[in-house]
Amino acid sequence: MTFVVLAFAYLRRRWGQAVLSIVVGALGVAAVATAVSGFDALPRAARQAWGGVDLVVGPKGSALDLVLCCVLHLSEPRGLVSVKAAMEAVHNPMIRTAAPIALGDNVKGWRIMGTTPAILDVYRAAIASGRIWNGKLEAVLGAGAARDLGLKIGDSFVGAHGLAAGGELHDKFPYKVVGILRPTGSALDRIILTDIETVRYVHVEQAKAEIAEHGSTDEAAAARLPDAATAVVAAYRVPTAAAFMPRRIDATETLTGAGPSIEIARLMGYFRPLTQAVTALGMLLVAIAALGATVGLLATMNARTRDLALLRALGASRAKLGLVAFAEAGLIAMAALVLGGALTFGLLTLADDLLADATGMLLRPTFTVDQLAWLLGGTLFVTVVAAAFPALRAMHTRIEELLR
Amino acid sequence: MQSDPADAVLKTSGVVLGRDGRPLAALPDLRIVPGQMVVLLGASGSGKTTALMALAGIRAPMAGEVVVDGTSVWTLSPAARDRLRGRRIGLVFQSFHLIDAVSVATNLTMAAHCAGLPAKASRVEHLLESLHIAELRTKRADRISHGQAQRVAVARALFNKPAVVLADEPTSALDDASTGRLLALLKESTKAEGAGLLVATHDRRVIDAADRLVELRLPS
Ligand SMILES: Nc1ncnc2c1ncn2[C@@H]1O[C@H](COP(=O)(O)OP(=O)(O)O)[C@@H](O)[C@H]1O
Ligand SMILES: [Mg+2]
Repeated sequence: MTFVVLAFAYLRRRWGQAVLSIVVGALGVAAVATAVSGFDALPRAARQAWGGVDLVVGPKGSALDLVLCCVLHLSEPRGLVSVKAAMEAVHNPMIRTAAPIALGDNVKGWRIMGTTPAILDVYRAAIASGRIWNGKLEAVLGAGAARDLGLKIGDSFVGAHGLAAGGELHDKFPYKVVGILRPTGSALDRIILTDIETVRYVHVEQAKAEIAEHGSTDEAAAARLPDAATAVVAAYRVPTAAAFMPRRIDATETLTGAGPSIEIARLMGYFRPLTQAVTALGMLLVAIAALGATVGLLATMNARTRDLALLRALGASRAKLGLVAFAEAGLIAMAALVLGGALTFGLLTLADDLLADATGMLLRPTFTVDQLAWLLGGTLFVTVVAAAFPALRAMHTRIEELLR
Repeated sequence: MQSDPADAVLKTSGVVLGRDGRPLAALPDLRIVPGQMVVLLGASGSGKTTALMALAGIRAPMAGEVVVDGTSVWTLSPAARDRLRGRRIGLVFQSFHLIDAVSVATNLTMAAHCAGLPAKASRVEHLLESLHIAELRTKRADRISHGQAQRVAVARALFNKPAVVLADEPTSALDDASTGRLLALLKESTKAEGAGLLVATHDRRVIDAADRLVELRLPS
């Protein structure tokens, strides 16, 4: 205890040096911890968001785009598919259930998704209150959308054109809330569900009005396409289907099949070098902090020859003198770890908020026992290495220094 | 003048001091009993500090035996010798050597800690009070006067209840009045604690305070 008091007193005398080591070390710890935890949390958050969707079938194009648009509901659709063709493509014993989805409108930024009741089965979602739609312009709200829009059963709302808030209002077509879903933790919570026929109806009616007003438009062209939808989402009966279904669908001439888990793994693959770079940078910072601490400690051990010799004169063994260096390095490391932990918490909370705002996905970063053990073990190792030379220097102090 | 050797806290026999493999001086055999003050007198460079190192288990003599509190110092392992020094020998240096970075109290408890003994707060209180420096307890060691530092150094030497206190040139930088005060302090406090006292010095002003005087001899 007295040695910790001594180490602390010594540190206070060279606080500038110590603070530098602590801050650089903390930045390193935070970089490593944030990168490691974030890299783990991001796919977890995505997996949570894609819920029960194992497969999405859309028009020919990028599989990742399809996942981002129709499963994670982050990006805009790139085209339309024939519901008949897509549903046929997923008509397979390996598929448990499938539902078409039609995107195009929103309510204050919350997507309206035209679909069939099978969607509840795909997501393994359940109605918390009310009922499923059974007519035009009836809506069932995801739990988050309902809460955020403040809509209750029996309330009415109007959709707006496009998938982002601020589009042209379809105010001739008010929807009625007939049901609210139980929270699933998936992207479905942020969706307003309605019958796929309703979406078509709204757009056909809108198209008629537009043709009457300006002649033909894109909207009108899309509305003319028979049985069009944005995509079909499906759930597998068996996990092994993942090895066959996307490839089989890709082989068709008009359709793309994408598995969210494959696409997100691929996406995370692009991130990996970045994560590794940040981790390496963090480790470099920790190494610089440790080196700084070592140099600082060595210098102060030299300046403290007299004190160290005195401790020997007072009966301290050589090993005990080494402890002075370790206690001091340990205090620096502990402070760096605490500050680094706080920084990590701040960074991850910020990332969580930013991601939730931008995508609705919940990062909810955590650390596994393994990761924590590595972090603590690594810090301990670096501390021991940093203190080793100063400790040796301290241990070799000769009592004679005092008696000259 | 010779006391019963059984009571002796410090005994030497046939100690010959050397430097760089050459004999430097012979130390007359010592018998120091509790409460006794012995002065080791010698000119500068005669080997007094070397003698104290031999007595304190810091540097081995060329020949002879040193027995502190019944234990032969130079037959112990280095670690055991460190422990013996910490627990049974109090050292007072010419320039006190307090640890500036910490408080007076911590300077005292450091003695217990280095020796692997429990650092009792009551012991700190007792020593600081009996040396009339109780008010310095929480003061940092570099914020006290020279005279106060002397007292703290003496308190630290006594903290672990040593059998013998060895002081190296404690008065060489002091004026007459201060010398008198320090000697009285050393003598009274070691006596009160039941320890023996050996003062190595070239300062002839110390002679009057001594119970016994020894001088280093040239080696035969
Ligand atoms: N570290 C040392 N290495 C070699 N010789 C030393 C050392 N310290 C002192 N000496 C020599 O040993 C002799 C005795 O020194 P010392 O014991 O310090 O004498 P004193 O304390 O009586 O002044 C001196 O001649 C001195 O030059
Ligand atoms: Mg000397």
